[in-house]
Amino acid sequence: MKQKRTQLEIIHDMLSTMQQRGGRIKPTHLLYKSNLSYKMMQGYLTILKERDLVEEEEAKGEKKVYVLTQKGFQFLSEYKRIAEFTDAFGL
Amino acid sequence: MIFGSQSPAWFLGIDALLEVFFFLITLLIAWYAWRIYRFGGGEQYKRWSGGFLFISLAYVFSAAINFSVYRELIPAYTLSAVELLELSTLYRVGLFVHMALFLLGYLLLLLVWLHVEDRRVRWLFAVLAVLIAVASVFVRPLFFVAVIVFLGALIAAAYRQARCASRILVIIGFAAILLGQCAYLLLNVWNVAYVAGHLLELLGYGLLATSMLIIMEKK
Repeated sequence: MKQKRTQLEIIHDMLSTMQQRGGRIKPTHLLYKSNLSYKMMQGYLTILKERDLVEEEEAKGEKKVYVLTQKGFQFLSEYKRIAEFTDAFGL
Repeated sequence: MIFGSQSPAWFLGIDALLEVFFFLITLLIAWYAWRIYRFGGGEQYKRWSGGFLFISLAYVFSAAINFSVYRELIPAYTLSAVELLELSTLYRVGLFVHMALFLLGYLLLLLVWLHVEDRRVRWLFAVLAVLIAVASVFVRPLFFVAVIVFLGALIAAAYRQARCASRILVIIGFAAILLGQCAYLLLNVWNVAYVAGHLLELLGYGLLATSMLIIMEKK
């Protein structure tokens, strides 16, 4: 049976999904791809916004989208090191 | 470790230099864990960073006290009684701070690995660590025994979940540091125990540094 994803793995999955969509994604698409409940996704989006990994954009007349920030891209590029550190020190 | 009074004369100063190296390694680990926490990592990264930060501060304190004590002792063969008393007080205060920080650091790491979430339990262990540090100023072996217990539990917890090469390096690193503490237990009976302890710690922190290098190489 597959183990539960850790917080970092979920964040990585969400940001990867956004990266695959060119760095911008609508909430419904993110919900579908992230494999989370709506409530959980909202919780994680709060964390992502607080950590400046993601920004919310709401242009006039258009629907809200989430945009990957520079820091978000940085996290994705460093994820392998983060995962290795986590494994090495058992966190 | 500020037990230089039991060090061979030729090792005076070298111990402080080694402790600077230990400080740098532990600070690097603390910094990277904090960086992950800032990226969105959980509380365990913050506590891991805190643990290694305490340990690095313990070493910087130890190195600073060693340097200042040696600076007074080596040239001044005729210290007055008052100066000796002041040096002794500085030494005891420094010893206590070093031991308290060291114990708190390794305790934090252990509590992360044991997934202890209850705040009251964490505070209880922290108070226990400080009390051990106070008692250890008068009964030194107590400190080394406490560190051995913490490190032993840490290694046992890590070994159960070992699944990658860098984890094995980390476990062996902590084991070497534990053996270093065992060597320090023999300070009163074996003159070179102080040197052996430092060399084992060098091996241990060297392995932790190696695992950090492997981690940094990943792209």
